[in-house]
Amino acid sequence: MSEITVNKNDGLKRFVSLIDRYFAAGGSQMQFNIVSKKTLLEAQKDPEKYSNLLVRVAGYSAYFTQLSKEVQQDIIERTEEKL
Amino acid sequence: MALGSFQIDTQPVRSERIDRLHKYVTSFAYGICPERGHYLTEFYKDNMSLPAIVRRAKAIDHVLQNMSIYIMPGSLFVGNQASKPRWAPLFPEFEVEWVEEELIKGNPYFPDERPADKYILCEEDKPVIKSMCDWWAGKTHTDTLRARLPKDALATHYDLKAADIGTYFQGGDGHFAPDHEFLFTHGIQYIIDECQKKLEEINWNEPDAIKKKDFYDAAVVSANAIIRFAERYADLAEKTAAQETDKARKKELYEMAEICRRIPRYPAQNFREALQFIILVHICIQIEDNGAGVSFGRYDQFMYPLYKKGLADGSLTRDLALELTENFFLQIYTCNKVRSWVDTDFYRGVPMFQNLTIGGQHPVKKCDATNELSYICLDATFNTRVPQPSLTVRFHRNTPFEFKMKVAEVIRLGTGLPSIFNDETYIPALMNRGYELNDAYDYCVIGCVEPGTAGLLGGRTGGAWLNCTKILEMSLYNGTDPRTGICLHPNKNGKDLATFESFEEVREAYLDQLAYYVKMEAILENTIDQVWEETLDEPMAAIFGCPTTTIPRGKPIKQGGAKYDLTGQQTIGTANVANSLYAIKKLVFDDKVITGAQLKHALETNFSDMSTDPSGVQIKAMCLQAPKYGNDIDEVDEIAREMLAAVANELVSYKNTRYGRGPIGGTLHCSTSTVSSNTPFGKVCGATPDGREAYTAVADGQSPMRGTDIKGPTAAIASVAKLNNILLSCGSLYNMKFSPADLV
Repeated sequence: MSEITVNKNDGLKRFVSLIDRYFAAGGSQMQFNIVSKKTLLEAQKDPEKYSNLLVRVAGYSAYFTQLSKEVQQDIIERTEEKL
Repeated sequence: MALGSFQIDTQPVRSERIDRLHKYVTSFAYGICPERGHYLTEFYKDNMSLPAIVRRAKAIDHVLQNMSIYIMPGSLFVGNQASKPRWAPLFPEFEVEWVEEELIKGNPYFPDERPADKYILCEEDKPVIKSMCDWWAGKTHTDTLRARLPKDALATHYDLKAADIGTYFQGGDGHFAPDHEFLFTHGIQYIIDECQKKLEEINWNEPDAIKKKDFYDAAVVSANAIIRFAERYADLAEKTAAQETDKARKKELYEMAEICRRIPRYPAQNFREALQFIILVHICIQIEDNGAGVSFGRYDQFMYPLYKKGLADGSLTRDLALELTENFFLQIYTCNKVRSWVDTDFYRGVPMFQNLTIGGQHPVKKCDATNELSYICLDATFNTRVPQPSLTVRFHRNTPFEFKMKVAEVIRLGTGLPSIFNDETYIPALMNRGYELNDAYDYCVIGCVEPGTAGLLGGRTGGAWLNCTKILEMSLYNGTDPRTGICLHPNKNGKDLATFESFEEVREAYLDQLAYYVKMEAILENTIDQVWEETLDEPMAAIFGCPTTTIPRGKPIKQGGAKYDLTGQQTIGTANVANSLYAIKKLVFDDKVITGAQLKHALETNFSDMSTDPSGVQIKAMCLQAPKYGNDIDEVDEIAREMLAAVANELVSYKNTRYGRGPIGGTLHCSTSTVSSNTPFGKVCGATPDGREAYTAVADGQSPMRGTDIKGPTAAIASVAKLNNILLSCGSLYNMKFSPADLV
């Protein structure tokens, strides 16, 4: 995406390697949330401002601020892995 | 860049048309449109004597001829499911109880007063809705199911929630990818001609002659219905064009009218016409029933010949193909579905599961199939930023690195799209269920994560959710559900957590309860299919979904009209089961730090009894400290693998209602798709030995339990990859979360 200013792609390459590694080991499917806990907590506080924020729930994406509190919590609590 | 979210910090690249259309579509709040339900009911009332499938064909035709149609400002396509974008039609033939309770009485909420997933409902529409509820009361799919299902299966669904299949009480199937390529290269007139030829050839000596006649009659009605529906749009486009002052738009509208006079009756001649064709077919399917997961198949493959043709003859550029694709995405995003409040708990965030697949391999050559359209779809997802269509990418061992990086960039945006699928497991998983090699290589993703070949699989990639955490809980209480006191199936050895004498006894009790509840699930699944077949079999799903088999065979999908037909489901809570069984093994039997009776008491009191020694809180800490699935620890991962494989193998021992009637497959099979069921399932499950507190959400998909995979992503993926993923022929689901800062 030419509009994204990317200084280096190391993180992105590590991310692709992780997918390759999972698939080479016999994994079938992966889906991701790439969002900080801070953003999600801010979105809970100010739903107007974050009304367009999409997140992955399960096999689909949805607008975070329209989700029930329980599902929002579920996504907030998911382990934030470090690459 | 703040790195809170790339979605917020990076701007989409949209043409003026797409930007305007995006603003227009997303300006609509969700709403409920009574038109479809009203016109359907109007037709049914006067035509109950018709054969079921013909009645259905004519009723949908009646809806299509009378419902409101519109053209969105600037859109190059037409096709709408309800009176406004993102408004949802009603399907009273499936269930009206919730419609009346919620929409008319506001119990527990009026749709616009819900705490989440709100829908607008106009006051003036209520009398029409009430009158459709009155007519359908006692005659719906749900009424028939309740009368027909054994009481244990009903209790499994309604009371225990050991399995939940509410969505298929309240609606139809969906869950297939139509044969768009066949349809837009042949045209609907071809289907009419074929069906009429078949009608003339019916052998009246044969016992199924009358059923075949009904099917072909219905197919012809449905085929003509979509053609007439397109003509309504042609009329509207002409009328709008006549009043349009902007010259360029006027021209576009006349072009749209001209296209809708030919499409879908005759084959699509170019890229734009094919997209218009696909939209009309898709919309009609979404009006015929409210099954979710109606998917598009391998867009970058079947559209590629027309893309190349357009570039060659100068009628298309990459930019134009991108704009048309984005316009197509936004048109599809207008479709919606409203569910009962109870069912909404399982489907948070108004998902439609309209999946679109790119990448993967060529079905015959078996080489990488990525092309420029694969990249165009990624750009379209990046730019449109709406949750539909749900973009899916197939990876395989020779997927180009450049393509993977591009996919990663779009994922980094954080919209959750696309998800990634591994050909190296999905293809053998399908072949293990009888798929032919080339068909397996040609799979697309349907709904959430379910593989199937467009035009060849007869739906049903979704099914009941199996609540394995609840099943585990009951096995610890000798088959009794502690929440309701109901016991459908006591443990064979009559023991519970306080009296089990070895881990082997715990394991056996769980597997025995699991087998019992898989049987309950099979009864639920097959009864629903049986009732659909008898009263609601669908001509559009048949001729659009699987035209190359339903038409030669003269039967719709639920009678065995598809090439492949397997009944899917969703297995929830694998991580909780594995972690709980391992905690019992370690704490009670291996290390003997607490007794089974002590653990049982702690669970019964939700780890809150401070008068015991160790106290409830201390026992909870021990439970939490026991090794967890998701950290590459073989002992616990192996339990996860065994328990998930047990579900998969048990399911395949049950035949579905199409077994032996034409399709390949014909059994139940397993997926780990969750939707949002892990939260409502958690609400019915008491505390579990993995340290999970009562009534909190269980784990999603086959992911590790939230917050318990603490050894980093490499260990987490190692655990998840250890599961017997090849048995998950109905799909695998693994959620991971990263911080945006990590992906720079």
